[in-house]
Amino acid sequence: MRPILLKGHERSITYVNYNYDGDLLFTASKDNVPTVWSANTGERIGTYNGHQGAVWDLDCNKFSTHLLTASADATCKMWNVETGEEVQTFKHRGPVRGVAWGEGSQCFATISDPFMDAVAMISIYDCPLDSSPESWSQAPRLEIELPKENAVKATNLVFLNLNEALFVTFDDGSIRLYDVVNGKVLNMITPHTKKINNVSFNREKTLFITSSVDTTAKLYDVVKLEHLKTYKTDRPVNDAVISPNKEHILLGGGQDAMSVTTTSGKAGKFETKFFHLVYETEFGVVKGHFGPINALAINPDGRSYASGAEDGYIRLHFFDQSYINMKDPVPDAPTEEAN
Amino acid sequence: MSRWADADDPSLPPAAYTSPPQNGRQTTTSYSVSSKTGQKLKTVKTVKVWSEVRKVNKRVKSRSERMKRFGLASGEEEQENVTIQSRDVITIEDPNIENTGDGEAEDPGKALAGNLNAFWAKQQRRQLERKYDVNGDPEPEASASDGLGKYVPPGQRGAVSSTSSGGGLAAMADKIEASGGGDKKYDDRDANTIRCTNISEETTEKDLQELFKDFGRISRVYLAKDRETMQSRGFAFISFVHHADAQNAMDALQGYGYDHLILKLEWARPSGGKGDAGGERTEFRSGYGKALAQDTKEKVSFASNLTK
Repeated sequence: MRPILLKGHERSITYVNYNYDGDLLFTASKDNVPTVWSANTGERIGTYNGHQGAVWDLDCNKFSTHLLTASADATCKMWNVETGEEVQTFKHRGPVRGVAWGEGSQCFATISDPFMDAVAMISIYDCPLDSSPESWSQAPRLEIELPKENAVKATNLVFLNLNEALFVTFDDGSIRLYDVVNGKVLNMITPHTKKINNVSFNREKTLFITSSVDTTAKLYDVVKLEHLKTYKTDRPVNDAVISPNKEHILLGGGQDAMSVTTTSGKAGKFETKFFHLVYETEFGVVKGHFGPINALAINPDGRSYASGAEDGYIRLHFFDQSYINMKDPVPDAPTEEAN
Repeated sequence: MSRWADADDPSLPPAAYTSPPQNGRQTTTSYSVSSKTGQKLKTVKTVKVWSEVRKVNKRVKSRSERMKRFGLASGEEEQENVTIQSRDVITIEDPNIENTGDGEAEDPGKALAGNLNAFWAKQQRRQLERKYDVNGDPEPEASASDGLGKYVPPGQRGAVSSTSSGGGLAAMADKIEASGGGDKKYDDRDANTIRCTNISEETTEKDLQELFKDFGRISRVYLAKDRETMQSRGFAFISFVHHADAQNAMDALQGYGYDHLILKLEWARPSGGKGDAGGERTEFRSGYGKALAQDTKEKVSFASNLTK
């Protein structure tokens, strides 16, 4: 395959994701300008101008009408996806680290980092899209203060169970489920020993995979929060995604950005790794980036994937027919006689 | 605003000519004058053209019609600085090298290298076999002295050594024809090769392997492809290790309906006249392009002169 290079961003990529239909690719970068691309041709369709700081996270709703972006300028902005106009700005007290739409696109939640005397916070906002944005309350419906004592920071959040629970990952390797009405912790597990960089769900939200600085990615069952599989690598894992139509896991990572300049590109381990979901075996590697991969996303049709890296490039890969037709390798089977 | 140097030079042919697409490619010819040397330049650009039908859902279609460029993307005319196609082909490489049977890393270059290695290994083995008389040939040295100073095609060397009378290659060929390949076992793979024509374009070498593998061990499957478009040319060669297997395959699959077409099988080198054999040869080689095919034809006719 010959990947398409998207060079619109001037600083490192923080997040990439496809919309639900798989025709648009949204990217966030530290250069303040979230961008939308055509997922089929790689053309830049538009940019959402207005943030004053790095954009850490974004989320597009299921109907691809509204986009939420979380920025280090302590705001979360809502945009009209098709025109690039700003719909509303939600002010926070600290840098906004993550944002997620609720099911049905009537509410969303954000995570903000501690700043000055403001503590880390999870905020849930109501935003009924059928009413005018002016009528929305600027104040969150619910604020959950995160424990101050050991200074844990939330890294990602997702609505689960038809908006009844909020799934939040932390930088101490734990995951907590919060009740969205009273903010109580419903459940807590600690899959990793170090920071969880990212979490991604399959399309049906039955499985999720966490990627951690402790060099592993772990696959969990959503309902029972049961550990299923572990994918071990030799590098911090920044993002991992589950293929929608194959039993494959894509892992992206590399050394932390600090030590990149002291190593060569070859030793940097900046490849995308392909693992078999069930057997936990690594069977493929795709090279190309000059920096650690910060974000991965696979098209909902399973035919292409995008990777965004610290080097500021997004590479859009369209799988070869041989990969799409490929039968999964079965490990430890008796080797066939060479004919 | 244009500079005076950009004005159209009346001595130049019309700006650009684009030919209608042919065989999936389209050539554009344009003429210009080099600004440095003043020389007239003819630029021929060949572009691959193909159309693809893709199903999209209604929401996506209406969105793609509605959406206009906005933000930083609105002003840009050419997207070349923002979206570029990578020059190098990236493959999904296999991290565990010894486990290459994944069918994953189908790098044509690599595959070619593998084939070449296999080819050289085979050559070496054959040489050793000849040297150490594995086939039970009585006197391999005799064959060497027979063919002294003459080029003997590898396919006929075994036959030469097994005949005691060194009556020249024409006689050898007659002998081979007479033996008919039934009672005689020679390791010439061309003799066990079936030429299979009328194959549909979608058929791959793997499909052929699947089709023919039930008849016995296959030593090689070669599907002729157009060098430029990499499309199947509709014929292939299948070599079996044993002649009997090839015969079985021939009997069973002659006229077999495969993928909406009816297969036609024949021996890659029919036991007819030598001229025929030459003809087959050239066709066999023609996968490498026309110029080369003519070359080989000359060579083959030259070689057949030698044998007379």
